[in-house]
Amino acid sequence: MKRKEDIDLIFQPNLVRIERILPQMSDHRLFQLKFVDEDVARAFFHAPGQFVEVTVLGVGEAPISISSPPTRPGIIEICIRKAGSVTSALFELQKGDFIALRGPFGRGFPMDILKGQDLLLVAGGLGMAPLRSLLQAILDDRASYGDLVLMYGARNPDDILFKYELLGLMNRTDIKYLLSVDVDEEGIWRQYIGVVTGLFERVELNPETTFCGLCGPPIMYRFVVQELLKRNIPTERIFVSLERMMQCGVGKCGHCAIGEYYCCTDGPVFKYSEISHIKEAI
Amino acid sequence: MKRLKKENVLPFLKEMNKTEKVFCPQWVDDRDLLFIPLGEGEYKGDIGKTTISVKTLVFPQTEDIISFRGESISKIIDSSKKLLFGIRPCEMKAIQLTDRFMKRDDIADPHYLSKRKEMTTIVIACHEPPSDTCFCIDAGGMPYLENGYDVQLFDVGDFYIAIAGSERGEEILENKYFEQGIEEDREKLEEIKSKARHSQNNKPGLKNAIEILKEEKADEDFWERLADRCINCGGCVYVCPTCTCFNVYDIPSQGGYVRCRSWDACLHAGFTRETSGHNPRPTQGSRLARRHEHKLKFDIINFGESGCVGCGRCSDTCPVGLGAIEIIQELNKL
Repeated sequence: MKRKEDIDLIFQPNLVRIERILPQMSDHRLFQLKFVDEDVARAFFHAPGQFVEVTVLGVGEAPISISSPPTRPGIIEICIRKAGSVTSALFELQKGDFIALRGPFGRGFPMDILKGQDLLLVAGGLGMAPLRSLLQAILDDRASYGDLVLMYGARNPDDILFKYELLGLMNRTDIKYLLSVDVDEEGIWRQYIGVVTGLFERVELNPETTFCGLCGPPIMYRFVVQELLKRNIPTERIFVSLERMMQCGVGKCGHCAIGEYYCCTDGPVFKYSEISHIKEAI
Repeated sequence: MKRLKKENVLPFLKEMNKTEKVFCPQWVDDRDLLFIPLGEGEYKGDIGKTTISVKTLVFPQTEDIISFRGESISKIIDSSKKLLFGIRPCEMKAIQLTDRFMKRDDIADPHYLSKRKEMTTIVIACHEPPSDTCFCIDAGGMPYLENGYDVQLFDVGDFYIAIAGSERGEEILENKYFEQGIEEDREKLEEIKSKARHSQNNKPGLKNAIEILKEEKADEDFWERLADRCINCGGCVYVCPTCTCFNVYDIPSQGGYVRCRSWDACLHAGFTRETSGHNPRPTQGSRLARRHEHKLKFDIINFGESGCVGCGRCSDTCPVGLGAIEIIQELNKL
């Protein structure tokens, strides 16, 4: 959360050093960042689902979700796909180089509400990047939550984000981890092949106690929400993280407006009940 | 209550210009009426309705916001003193609405608010509509203001009746060019107000259009049909006194570079397009709907008040007849 005295610095980024770059699947990298100014580093506290505005000096700025959990402060992790001008420039940089950050911005997952509840997390593709923050926050404080199910749908067996970390969850008994791939051309996949909604047959969800967190491409929301509604999960217990062009991050530039909301300040995490009436939302 | 003789307006402005930058509506090449620095055009007494609203002075078309030099990053703030003479009541109301938006959710936009803080506002009430497209009364306003200005002037022919609306306004009225008014001015003022209230004939029916949008009677087909005409120029947005969407970009500047923001328009296809190519508002109809629903639906949800002040500039500017007036008329046919 922002300190009061920082409010008029909402557009001014702070320098961070790239501490480490971890390669992910093709065209994706995980950057570990640390604020140069220690006061700024100490004041930085985020909720899973919040995002930062990342400046590559001389190129521009882009909104990126935070992949690390608030339970591990000091280092901020962002998972980047090489896509536009800012992210492409980021891929040219090395460990020790400087970039700049503003944030954290927006409304993340309501951890107070999720405590003590059974949780279902559903990620599709790069949607795993923000959900990993939520997942690790839960795992770091595992006793505070009920049953935990993670469904992750990837395109193919090579395109799995945080692959080794997530495979490590397979052996844990305190999380049910279900992985699907859309296609497996090489025939190496031992788990489910098909769209992520196919995984719903493999779980029992208690509609009285389950809260859901979703992040993925727009098409995924439509089908996953349908599945959840079929299982009588109330719409106010379904949390979706939406993607928009969040340029300023503070609800002023207008690009991320969704009906009466601004994705960057009212979201990016919304209750499905808040946005189900807005046609363009999903 | 004081008086300002019309012959004293220019001397007054010139004197004020010595200590703060004065802006007022002036003619350029006898063709464009613009709200520009005193002396950059010709002041002809009649302030009319400027092509682009006074928004340009609180929210410039382009402004530098952040400077990057090596590893030093700092914000760029314009807090110079400005005096704006000849703001129309609808524009002043637009600034009040923008003030509220810029402070929304306790997130204050420092680049906007620094300019507002150092700004003196002198409003000139409209004793008659400056153009046929004016519809402030239909839009829920009045051709004069009750509050939210420093000084308000009422046109009485040879002179203006001047009323202060703030401490700063009282201070301005102490200036030697403002003369003591007489008791009859009070009556005159009520006369002017009453005449002004009855002189506006343009009534497109904004209140009813709001209800129609609320009842969700305007469907996709409605907007797509109208949007067939839209040429995507963004003109309506740029001249609108309450439109404040902007684009952010970095450009090289003096050995470092500078982050700027410029007016942007929700009618452009690229406005919502994401890097992935996905566009949540993929059709011109969805974008036209956004522009008008923002003012007539979502502003009411968020602020309890419509975001259209009825200045009519979008209808003056739109080359294909798709300003707010025409949209409101079309909505009222539903």
